[in-house]
Amino acid sequence: MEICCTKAGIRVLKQWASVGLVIPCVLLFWQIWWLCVFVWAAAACIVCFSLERWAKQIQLTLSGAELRLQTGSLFRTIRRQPVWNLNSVQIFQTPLLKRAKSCILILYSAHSIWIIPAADIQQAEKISLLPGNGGNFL
Amino acid sequence: MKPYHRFHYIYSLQYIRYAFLLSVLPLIRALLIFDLPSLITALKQDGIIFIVVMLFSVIQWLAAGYRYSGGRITIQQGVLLSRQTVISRPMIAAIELRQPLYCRLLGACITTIYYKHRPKPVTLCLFYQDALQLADELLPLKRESAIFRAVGAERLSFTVLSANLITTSILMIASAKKTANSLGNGFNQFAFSNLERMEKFVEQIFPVGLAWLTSLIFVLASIALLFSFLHTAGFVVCRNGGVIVAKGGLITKTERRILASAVTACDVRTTPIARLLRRSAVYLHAGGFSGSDMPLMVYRRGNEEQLQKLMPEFYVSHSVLGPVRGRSLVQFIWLSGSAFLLCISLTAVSAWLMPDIAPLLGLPSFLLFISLLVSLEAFFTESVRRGSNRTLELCYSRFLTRHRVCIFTSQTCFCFSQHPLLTYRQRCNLTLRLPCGLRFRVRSIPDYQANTLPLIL
Repeated sequence: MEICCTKAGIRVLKQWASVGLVIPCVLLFWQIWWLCVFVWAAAACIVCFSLERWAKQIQLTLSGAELRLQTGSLFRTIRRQPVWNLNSVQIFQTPLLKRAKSCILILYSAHSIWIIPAADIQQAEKISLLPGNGGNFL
Repeated sequence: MKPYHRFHYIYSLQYIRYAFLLSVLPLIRALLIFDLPSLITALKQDGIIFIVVMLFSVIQWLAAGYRYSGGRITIQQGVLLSRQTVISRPMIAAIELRQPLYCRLLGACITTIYYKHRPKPVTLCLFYQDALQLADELLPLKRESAIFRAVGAERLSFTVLSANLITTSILMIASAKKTANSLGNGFNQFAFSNLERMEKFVEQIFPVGLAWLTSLIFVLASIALLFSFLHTAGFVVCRNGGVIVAKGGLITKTERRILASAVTACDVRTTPIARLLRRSAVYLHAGGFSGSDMPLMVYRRGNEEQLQKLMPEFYVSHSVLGPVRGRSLVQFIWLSGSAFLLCISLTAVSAWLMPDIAPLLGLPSFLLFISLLVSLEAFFTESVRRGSNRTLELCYSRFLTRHRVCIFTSQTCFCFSQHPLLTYRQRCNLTLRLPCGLRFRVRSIPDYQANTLPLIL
């Protein structure tokens, strides 16, 4: 099974980032409105582009009893651990993410926390049924 | 239901000691300047503080206790904010019973319980008999057969390899600073006058700057060796069924019981001194337990059977060469190499401009040269592989120490990371994470291992 970030989910994340950037831009350049708009537009473009690139590279794979998370392209990281390491799975949804049929999936294990920012909700629910979380997926 | 056992009276001292420190220092100051009215005022204030804290401590002590029943220990603490901790036997990885001199005089024992999956242990102050009974209930011993006994040459190697000059130096400096702050400049003058006397003696052999450094290192090393000598007296390591026992110590008696099935990793460390002695120090990690600074045992190189008696699953391959082809030498030696070059250049400049301090820089240059050699060795030996008995074997070096680690648990998390230079060379770095925050890092392994290294033992 493979979980990647959905396009609709990434779009929601980009919307959040763009809206979130308004606050620092207004606070920093509130006296010059055109500079505020310019900085906001530039920052939003850069952040959205980076966010999309980062989110597209995230890939969670479940094969047998192994969980594998791959992130990044230039600075690539592959994390692998057995499913029995999982302590709990958290699925986080907002109305916008719910409409995009996506969620923020957080996997807690004894060693680390893995986050998939815009995972497909159906796949995420399957992951949440893994052994150790009270389910019988395997 | 079993009644609660009380903690030792020393338990209440944890509150009293702060009151003691707060009250004694103004008294000493008043005595030193011989100001009688301020002394009487300080005495009155201290008396009130003492009575209040004593009452609080006694109430705390009366409310605290532990109970062992049905394979689990229940610890009760606090009065207003009551806290109950329940630890079941399967959660326990190791128990440490420690008796410093003051505890031995009062019949107390500081008992530390280490979890399998939590890094922070639980520390209790119990009566010695209660502590022993609790340890026997949680990790019982049937018969003991010594695997390692620190006697003769082994004692000497164990003492030398257990001595940690860096930690002792830091502790010494910190305690000296604290003492000097409390007692004023008199202590500093006293300490330095003795050190200067020794330095004058060493000056007859070495130049001025180096004599001072040699004296300081000699004093700190002597203290570290003395501590190590006291800690390792009568040290015995046994394997008793499923429990590994390590006990010993002259002034501070320590007994460690480690559940063999909870051991996650066995770290064999080889320092330059260990190479000279042809021995390696063994450290065991079991959940939150890592044996603090003291090794579990030392063994002669090539005599792995002794270690296998302790941990039958222990395995290190005889081939030490790692996958060298395609490796970047710069990745391994840039840090130690650049530090060595900097130190050598400083030595050269000082030899030209200030010849007096040139020997002073010689010592760090020598240490960095050894570090450079160790890094060079790491270039050839750093690797990760599966052992023939389904364990995972890591070999890596840090500063002056070479580590050979055998991983026994399958509760691992591999993290392979690559940056563009490593991608170009088809290499990656591996960080292996174990429960309780333990991690090991191996550099520049072939990137196909990121997918092929078996995760499950």
